[in-house]
Amino acid sequence: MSLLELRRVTKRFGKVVAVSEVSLAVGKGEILSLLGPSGCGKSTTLRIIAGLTKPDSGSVIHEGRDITELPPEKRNFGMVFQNYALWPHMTVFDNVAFGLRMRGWARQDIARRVKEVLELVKLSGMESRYPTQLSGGQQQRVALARALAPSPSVLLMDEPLSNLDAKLREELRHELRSILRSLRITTIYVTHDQAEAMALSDKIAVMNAGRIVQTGTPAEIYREPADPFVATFIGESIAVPGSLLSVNGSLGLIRLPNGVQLKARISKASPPSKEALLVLRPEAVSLGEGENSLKCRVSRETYMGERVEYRLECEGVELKLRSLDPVLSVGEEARVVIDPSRAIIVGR
Amino acid sequence: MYTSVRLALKLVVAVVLFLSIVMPLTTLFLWSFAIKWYWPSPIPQELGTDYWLEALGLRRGLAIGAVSVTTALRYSIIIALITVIVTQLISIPASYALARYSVPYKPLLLFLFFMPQVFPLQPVYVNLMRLFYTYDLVGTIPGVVLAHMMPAMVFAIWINTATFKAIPPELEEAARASGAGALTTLLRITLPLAVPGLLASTVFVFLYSFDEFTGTFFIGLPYIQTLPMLLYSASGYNMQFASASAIVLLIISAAFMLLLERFLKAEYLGRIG
Repeated sequence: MSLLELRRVTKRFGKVVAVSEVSLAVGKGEILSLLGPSGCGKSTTLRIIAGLTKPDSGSVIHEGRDITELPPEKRNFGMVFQNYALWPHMTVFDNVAFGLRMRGWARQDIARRVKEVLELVKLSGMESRYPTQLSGGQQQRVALARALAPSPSVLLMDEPLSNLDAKLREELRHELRSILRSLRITTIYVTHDQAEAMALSDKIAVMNAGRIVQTGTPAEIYREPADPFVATFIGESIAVPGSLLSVNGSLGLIRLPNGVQLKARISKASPPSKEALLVLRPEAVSLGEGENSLKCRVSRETYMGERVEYRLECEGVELKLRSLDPVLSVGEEARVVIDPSRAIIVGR
Repeated sequence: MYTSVRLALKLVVAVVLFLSIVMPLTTLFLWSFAIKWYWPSPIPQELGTDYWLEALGLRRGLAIGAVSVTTALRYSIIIALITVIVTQLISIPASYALARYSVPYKPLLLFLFFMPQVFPLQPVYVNLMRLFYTYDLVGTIPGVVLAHMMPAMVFAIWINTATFKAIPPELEEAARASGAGALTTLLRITLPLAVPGLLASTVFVFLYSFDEFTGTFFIGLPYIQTLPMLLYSASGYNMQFASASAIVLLIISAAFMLLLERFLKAEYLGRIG
């Protein structure tokens, strides 16, 4: 049985439907990411789970109990905000201890627990500092410690790493992952960063325009996109519309507008239809000749350090090709092979 | 060359400051101790503490009448304190609502609220006086307090709303998510963070009421005589007495300004961001 469930939750702000008929289920100890572009309703969904926003319809179920009307302070969830939301007039200790005090813990228990969670987030010795005396990364660690201190039933995180710079973000992402795994805490994680969602989650729910368009493991989301939105939102995808000519097992033959016919794998999550979309990610494209290949011209070369990225004009289709070494130059002609197991066909 | 220009500039600033601040204060100070000071002498002909003793109610005599500075001062302080308390009791919840919730017709409400400030206040008070006569509020402390509250409320709501707006709602939400109810969140998070701003508006309102003249003149007379009114009426015939009351007014106002400055330190406000 799932620990937390949303049933057909809808929320409107004026005429805008922020969240539309969203249903999802999170199992105990599971890390679920709500992934989507900004304004897709993922934060509103999280706020509804937290009790900070009231849904217009639908219900929130926690351990089999309807908590839709329960105020946030009675839900025993922990929440981490994008802008840390630490209380500036309290020390690190008081910030972390707040939830414990609210739950009526004894003084020595509070001291012990605060010490424990600050150790967990590697901030021991910072107890008497004020939030403004900490760096952004440290502030977010305090916010995490504050949310974890009362051992909440569910941890809710709203883009917790978005305000940090790229390097720190990656560092904290790995740390966060090991903390969440070691605590086995049920987590709902909102992000617009697919790499973050992939690296952290057991399950990802991709949201678009207030709806959940696909839920699955990171691999499922990446390899078996359910619709054109997921296919293009995840990965560095180039999508070309075409029509599906025939299906042979898991492979399909698709004809592109320029008449070229290519073989590609049909996404398991998207039933084959005549109107189809060919999704080409860089890993599906490599230099070579023969079957399933296209004639291309190099239109741009970008040196990225560990690799070189080429923009190719291939018979009216624009493709991306990655190479470890510079092998082509702008204006040069080359043939590329499309790997039918890595190119994906989804229904339109 | 550059340094001499800077030096000249500094000198100009010093002279302007001296002429605009120190000179009038010196004159005020001299007047309050002058027994005789006839034109065109640059300094008083005779000095003494007679007027100060009379102003402070320590000695009675001469032509000053029944009212001493201390009585007027007491009225001023009582009226200012009541004005502050009642204004803040109304404006703090109202400001919180204005800052946090979408109040219907908010622009219209604020416009109506600012309306009296658009006109010269004198005709407003004249009409207020007519109205207050029907409720027996003229010449009473509640009447004067109400007259002071009308403009004071504008300052208070203005500053308090800005104060609450400067507190990110996530700080309150984080408290709720941590297990604190709405009231605990208000007492432990919102109000402590709002203290500098609320104190600033408190001091502003106090000073406004303390220095107010027009409203008190129309609504308070003949029974309520505050320090500014005493000062105004005395300055016509008794410069010494007016100077002494002005100095008392100045000392109290300056003390409050210092308090205000202390609490408006950028460091404290900066913590809110």
